[in-house]
Amino acid sequence: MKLDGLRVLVVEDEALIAMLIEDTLADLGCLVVGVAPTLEEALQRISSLTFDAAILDVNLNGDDSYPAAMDLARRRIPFVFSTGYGAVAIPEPLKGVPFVVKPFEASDLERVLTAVLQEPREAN
Amino acid sequence: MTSGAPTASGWIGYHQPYDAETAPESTTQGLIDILDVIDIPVVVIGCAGAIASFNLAAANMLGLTALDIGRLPGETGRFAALPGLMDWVAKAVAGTSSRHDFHDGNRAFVLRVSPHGRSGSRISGAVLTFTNVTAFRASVEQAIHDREFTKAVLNTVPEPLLVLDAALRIQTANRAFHAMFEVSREEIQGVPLRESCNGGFALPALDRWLSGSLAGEDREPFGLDWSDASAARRSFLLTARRLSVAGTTGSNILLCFQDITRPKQIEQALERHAAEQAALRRLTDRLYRAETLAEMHDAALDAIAEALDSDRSSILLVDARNVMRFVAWRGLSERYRAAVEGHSPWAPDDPAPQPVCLPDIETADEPEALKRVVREEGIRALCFMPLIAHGRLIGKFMTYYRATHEFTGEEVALASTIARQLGFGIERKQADDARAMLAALVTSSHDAIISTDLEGVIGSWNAGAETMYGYTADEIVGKRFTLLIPSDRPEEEGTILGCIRRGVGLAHFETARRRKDGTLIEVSITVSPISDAKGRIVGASKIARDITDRKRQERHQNTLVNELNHRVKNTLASVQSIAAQTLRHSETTAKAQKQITSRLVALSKAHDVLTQRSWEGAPLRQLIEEAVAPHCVPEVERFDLDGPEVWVSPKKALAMTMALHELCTNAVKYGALSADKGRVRIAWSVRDAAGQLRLRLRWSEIGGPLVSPPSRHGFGSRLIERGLGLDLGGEVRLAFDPAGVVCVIDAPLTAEESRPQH
Repeated sequence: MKLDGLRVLVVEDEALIAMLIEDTLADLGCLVVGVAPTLEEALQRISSLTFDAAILDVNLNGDDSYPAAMDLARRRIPFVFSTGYGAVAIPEPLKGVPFVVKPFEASDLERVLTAVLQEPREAN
Repeated sequence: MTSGAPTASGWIGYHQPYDAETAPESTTQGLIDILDVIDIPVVVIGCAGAIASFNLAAANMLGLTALDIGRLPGETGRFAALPGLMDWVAKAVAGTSSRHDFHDGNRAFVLRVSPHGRSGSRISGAVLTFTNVTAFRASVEQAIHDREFTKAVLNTVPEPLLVLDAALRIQTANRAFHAMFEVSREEIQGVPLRESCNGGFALPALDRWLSGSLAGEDREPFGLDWSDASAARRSFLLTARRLSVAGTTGSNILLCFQDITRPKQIEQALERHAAEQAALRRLTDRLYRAETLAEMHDAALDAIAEALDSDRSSILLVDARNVMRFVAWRGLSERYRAAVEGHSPWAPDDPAPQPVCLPDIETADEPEALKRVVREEGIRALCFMPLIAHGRLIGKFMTYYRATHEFTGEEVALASTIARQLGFGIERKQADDARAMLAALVTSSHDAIISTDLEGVIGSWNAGAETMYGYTADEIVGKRFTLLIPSDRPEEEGTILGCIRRGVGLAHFETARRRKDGTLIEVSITVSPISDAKGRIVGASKIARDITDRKRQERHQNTLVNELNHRVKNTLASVQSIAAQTLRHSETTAKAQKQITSRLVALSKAHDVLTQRSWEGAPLRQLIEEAVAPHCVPEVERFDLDGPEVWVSPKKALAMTMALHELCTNAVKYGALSADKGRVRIAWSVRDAAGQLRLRLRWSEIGGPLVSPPSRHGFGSRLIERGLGLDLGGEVRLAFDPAGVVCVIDAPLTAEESRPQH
C-alpha cells in the first residue's frame, strides 16, 4: 500500500471522530503517532514528534487550527484538513490545501493523503 | 368836456355885450389883462373874421403878436393849420358853437368856437378857447383800452366768471360762463344769481359765503357740485373778489368758477389707486408673513374689502376630491354656503380659467335654482376669480354686491392681482410646508443624509450623519466627502460622482465609510442627482443607512448556519465512528445492530439535554440521571448519585453521556447491575488544584459478581479510556477490580463550568 508505514499526526477534538480516523489510518497501513485534541497540544506535538503527514481538524473546540497548519507548512510537513464546513472555512493562504469533509470515507482520506504526499511543496 | 368849459363860459357869462370895434378900449384891455393870467389860450375874432384880441397863453401857443390884431386868422401863425376855422367862426356868429380837436405837438386841445357878445340879439364875433385835454385824452384812451382789454381777458379766461352787484344780481358773465352753464346773456343779465340757471345756485350756504365776501371777509374757496342738463356731475371751486364801484360806496363781486371736475376725478382716481396699492402692499406683506393658510385667507379677504370695496367675499379651495369648498368668508350665511359649495364656473382641468363677472344675477345665464339661492342671500352681483398655484386651478375667491355692479376692467385687474398674490401665497405656503416637512424628515432621520456638489464638497449634513460618522456639521460642511471614504476604496467617490454627472443614481449600494475616530462603519447608500430650477445637475444627495447591525446579524446567521453544518457533520462523523467501531468489535450483525441503536439513543438523549439548554452546556446531575435512567429497574433504586451541581460544556456532556452509557451497559452485562443486590455509586466533587478547578468523578460498582478484566479491549473501554480522556482533556482510569468496576475521571473545569447554576 502506498501509505504503508506512513507516520501520521491526527489533530481532532472530537474523540469519537479521532478514533474513527485512527482506525481508518490503521486500515490504510499508517501509524498514528499521536492524537491532539486542542491547538495547544497540536503545536506541542508538531514540535516534539516525528511524523510524515498530519490530518488537521479545522475547528478545535472553537479555535481554528491554522497556526498549526502554518507551522506544518513552515516545516514542509504535508497535511490535509478535515472539516465539517467545506472549503469556505479555509483562509486564503491555505486555500490550496486538500481537505476531506466529515463524514468521509476511507478512500477519500487515502486520496487526499496520497495527493498531498506527491505534491512538491513550496516553502512559505 | 364840461370840466374845462365853465371857466370860459363863466367868463363869457358875466361879460357884457361886446363889440370889438366899439367896445371901450379899457374894458377890452382889462379883460385881456385878466385873461393873460389864465393858462387857457383865448382868441377873440371879430364879426368880420379878423383877430380882435388874444391872451398871453394864446400868443405863446399860436405864435401871435400884436401885429396880428386885425388880421385874418388864416394868415397868421398856427391858424394856418385850421382850414375850417372861418366856417366855424361864421357858424358861431350865426349863433352855433362848435368844438374841434387841435394838436400842438404832443398836446391835445379842444378848440371851442363860441358866439361872442351874445348879449341881446347881436353877436359881435367868436371866441376861440383852447382847452388842454392831453391828460384827459390819454386817460380816456387808457380807459377804453383797459376796458377792451379786460373784456378780452374775461372772454378769453377759460374759467366761467360772473360779476354780481351788491344785491347778488348778475351784472356780467363771460363767454365761458355762458358756455358752461348754457345760458344766454339775456337769460341772466340782471337776474339774481339764486334764480338763474334753473336755481342751480340757490344754496343758502352759497348766499352766506357771497355775503361774507361782499362784506370784505377773506373767505376760503366755496366747493360747488353741479349737475348739468345731461346729469353729468361737475365740481367747481368758487372764489370771490370784492370790486369797489367808483363813485359809490357799494361793491360788486367778481365770482370765478374753477372747474375741478377733472382734477377731482384724477385726484379721486389717484387716491383710490393709492388705496388699492396700499391694500395690495399690505396683502403681499401679510401673505409673506402668514404662518397658516387661515392667516393668508384673512389677509386676502381684507384686501378684497379694501381694494374692491366689497364687504362680502369668500375663498374656496379645491379639496382632495376636486370639490370647491369654502375655507374663509365674510358676510355669508351658512345656508348660502351649504347651497353653493362645490359650484365652479370652470372645469377642474381648465388650463387657463378666466374671471367670471355677473353684473346682475337676474339677467345672468345661470340655473334658476342658483339664482334663487343668490337672490335670497341678498346678492345681486358677484364675481368669480380663479386661484392658480403651480399652473393649476386650486380654488377661487368671490366678491358679492347687494346691488347690480358693473365690473370695470380696473376692478377685474385688481381682483386678478389679489387672486394671483393669494395663489402665490398658497403655493409658497405649500412649498414651505413641504420644505419644512422635508427638513424635519432629514433632521429626524437616523439615516445620514448629506448633499455634496459635483466636486464632492459637502454642503449639508444632518443629525443622523453626525451620529453615524462622528463629525458635527460645523466640522465637515465645506470639506470633501472623500474624508469618509476608507483607504481601501479610493476610486469609489469618483465613480459615484461620475454617475451623478450623467444623471444616474445608485440605490442600496453597500460599502463602508470611515468615522471620525477612524473606525469603519458598514453602510447601504442611495445616491441621487440634485437638479437646480433649470434642471441642471448641480450636486448629489447621499443617504446612508448604518447596516452594521444587519451585517452583524448576517454574519451571526452565517456563523449559526456554519456551526449547525459543523455540528451536523461532526454528529454524522460520530455516528459513523460509533457504527464503524461497533461493527468492528461485534460478533454478530444482530448484536451490532442492538449496540449501535442503544449507543445512538444515548447520544440522542445527550443532544436532547443540550438542546434544552440551547447547546450552551448541561447540569452534570441531569446528564447522569438521563444516562442511567434506561438501566434503572423501577422498583429497585440501584444508583447512588452524590455530588454538587456542576455545569459542563456540550462537548464534555456528550463524552460523559457516551462513557456512562458504556459503563452502564457493561454493568448490566457483567457487573453490579447483573446481580440483584448490585449497586452503582456515582460520586463527584470539584476541587481547586493550584488555581485550576478540577472535576473528579468516581463510578464504583458494589454487590455484583466477581469481576475479571475483559478478554478483549472493546469499543466501550476504548471510548472510556481514550475517548473520554481526549474529550475531557483529563485522565480516566478504568479498573476491573474484582469487587466491582471502578472508573475515576479527573478533568479540568473552566471557570464557567464550575458555576453551580447556569
